[in-house]
Amino acid sequence: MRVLGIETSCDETGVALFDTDRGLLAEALSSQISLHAKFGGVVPELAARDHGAKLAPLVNQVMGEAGLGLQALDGVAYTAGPGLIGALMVGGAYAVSLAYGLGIPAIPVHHMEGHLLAPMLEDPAPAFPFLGLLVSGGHTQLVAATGLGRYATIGNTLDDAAGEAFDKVARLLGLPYPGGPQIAALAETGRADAFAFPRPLRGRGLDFSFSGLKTAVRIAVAAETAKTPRLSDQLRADIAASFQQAVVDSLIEKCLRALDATGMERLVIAGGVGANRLLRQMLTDQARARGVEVFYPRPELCTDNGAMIAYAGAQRLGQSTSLQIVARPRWPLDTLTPSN
Amino acid sequence: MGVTMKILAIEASTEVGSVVVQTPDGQFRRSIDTARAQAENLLPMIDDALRDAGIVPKQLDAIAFGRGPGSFTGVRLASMIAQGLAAAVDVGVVAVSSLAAAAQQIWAQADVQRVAICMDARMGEVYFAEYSLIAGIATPVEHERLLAPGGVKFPVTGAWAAAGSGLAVYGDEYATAVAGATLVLPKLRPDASGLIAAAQRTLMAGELMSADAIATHYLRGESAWQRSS
Repeated sequence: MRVLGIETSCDETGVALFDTDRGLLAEALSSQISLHAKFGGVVPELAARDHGAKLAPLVNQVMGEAGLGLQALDGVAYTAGPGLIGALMVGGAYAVSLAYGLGIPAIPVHHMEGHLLAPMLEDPAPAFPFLGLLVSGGHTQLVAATGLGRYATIGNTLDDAAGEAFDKVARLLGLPYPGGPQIAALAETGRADAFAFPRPLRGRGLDFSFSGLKTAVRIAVAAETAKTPRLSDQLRADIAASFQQAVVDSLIEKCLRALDATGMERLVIAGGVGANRLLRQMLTDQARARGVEVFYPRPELCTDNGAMIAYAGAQRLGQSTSLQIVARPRWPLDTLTPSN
Repeated sequence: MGVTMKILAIEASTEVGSVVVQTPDGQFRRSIDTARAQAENLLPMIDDALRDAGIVPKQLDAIAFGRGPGSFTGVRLASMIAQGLAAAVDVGVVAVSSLAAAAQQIWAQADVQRVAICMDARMGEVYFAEYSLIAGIATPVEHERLLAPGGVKFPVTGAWAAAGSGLAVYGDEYATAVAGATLVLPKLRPDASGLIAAAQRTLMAGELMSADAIATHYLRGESAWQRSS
């Protein structure tokens, strides 16, 4: 069965074709980073406009690369939420209409389920049950996944998402949006122990908090700027490295606590921040030391993409389908069921 | 060709969403007047209209949609539905001005020389254009524009009509200017039926666009939501 996946929930237009027998056949991505960079964040209306302009050509590109016509499709999966309403509507309207015209099912997919299942596109693929760390610009959550559509969020951020903290700290350091890769690159030459930034909620529960950490960085930057108005490259690198270490430490601590609490033996790392090398390396080492298997997709499948939507859609092919364009800006992962 | 053409038209640039299937047997229309319900209802409405017409999507010769200006979300919905459906059944697309569609509707009911369409654009502005009827098609005298209400210039001579939500929102301001109009229709909204004439002409001229090459027409640009932070 071949499923086309369409992702337009935020600032990446992603399209991919997944074959249940042969795996990923083709994929394409159009990033809007440069479009939103001058605004310091995603502008919803601009995002929707750009998705509208890029989607149809990307679908043509993917089908062309796969050497297949649209008639070869068995289903069209699209991100139905959570995300920006206008952006979701673009992908949904196109997907449901395409499916209707082809006489095949349109499959609304939960964006975070897409992220959670993305490592299953890799070899070896994780099997249920597993603990998922979903960490991106909009989400930071720990999910106990016991089967398709059986997800329990056991930890969540109380304020900022980890990726959001990266973006905000990047801005404090004069780095462009998005902040994650920028901070990671700057941190390469910095000392992670130069600044003693807090690890909020350490030793308590499974929830995260990054707002206080971001404030601590702002205070440190202000104090250093008061001494020397123009921060040295080394100092900026030290701040970046110390901040990154604090985020990674917090994520790892909660992950390990969650593994202990659930007794899960597999850990899946997904979402844009999951592409962070320090996080991957340290979390993998520490989880493996406890006999836990760790899975994460290649970096391109960590950030938003069409492949994960095509894959998740393929798992739900055959379920009931309708002509309604589903767009749900807020949609708790826990409300999913095996059948929808 | 003209008598056998089958066209689907979709218009959603205002709170009224409508679809029309035009076949040799007539016009089959569905509409809804709640903007928020368009995403849920447009495709089921299309399906219903096609069933009423007794055809399946594959039998369509062209798909037309109202390309705005108007509600950004509504215009995008119409555009993406047109693109997705056109790709699936491999037909060409026609993007028609939503203001021109409204003007076309007036000529279906009144014999005037000029039509001025003035739609509320929110944020203290209106979308405006003036049309004349050329070879049966509402044709702009000047390009449609986004204007301050006071910047609108209605026709002053001949038989003319004015229509659109801008006339209601700025009723007091326009009272004198539209006093000389033959017909004033503040409640008129662009309708899918108003897209058919332009779609038929484009189809017969062989000028349909490929589904992945179409553009929407927002008029309102980036400056409108430039953030200060």
